[in-house]
Amino acid sequence: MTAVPEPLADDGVLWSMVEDGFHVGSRNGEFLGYIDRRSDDQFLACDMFSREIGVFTDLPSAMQVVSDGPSAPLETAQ
Amino acid sequence: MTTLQQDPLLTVMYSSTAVATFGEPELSALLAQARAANERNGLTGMLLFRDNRFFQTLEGTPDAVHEVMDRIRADDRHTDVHILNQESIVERRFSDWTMGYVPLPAPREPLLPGVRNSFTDVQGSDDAVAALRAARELNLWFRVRANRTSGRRAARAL
Repeated sequence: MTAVPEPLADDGVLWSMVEDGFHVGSRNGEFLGYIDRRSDDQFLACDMFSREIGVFTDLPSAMQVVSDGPSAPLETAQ
Repeated sequence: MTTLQQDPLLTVMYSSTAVATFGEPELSALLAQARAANERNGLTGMLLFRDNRFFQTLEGTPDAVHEVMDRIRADDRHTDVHILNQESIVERRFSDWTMGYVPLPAPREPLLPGVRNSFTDVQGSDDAVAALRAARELNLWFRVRANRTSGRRAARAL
């Protein structure tokens, strides 16, 4: 089976979902942060150090703020 | 953990497939066995299981990690053991868990266009880079879930 290139958003960010409501963003293999949907259906965005960087009513807004931040190797995340 | 801080550390991430259907009793028995063995051997790590497939991260001294990987490869409860990554580390990332476990629920919501599924990528990708990315995403997810107060209890629930 041939490996299929991974799709990227226009800003070069690759998003993955681990479980419903939990998305991880990376760009060129560098970890950007993650988004965790809370029980109140708000989206908590965290940076590469798991620091909270905002709470949003919609996923695209949370993705944007994570995409705009700096990146770090994924294994350094808490 | 009894491992001295100056001991070199190795971490291994691998995926595998259960040979027979694995229910909660079998999983509980596996976790109990792994935790006891890991405690004796100074190993830490975490396990995820879904759709009869395993993903595991182990860390410890190189000798201990190699020994447990030999046992895992010989364990007839699973097959198709695929090493995703093996690297030296300076400090443990799962120091609180002899074998952490958090249930990973099956997705009920459709993926957004262009969004990958980490558990699928770690199991089925021929792309080593994608599989490693997905493995690290699973590790991150585990730490986020388990480091919550309630999540920490869940990590030890089985």
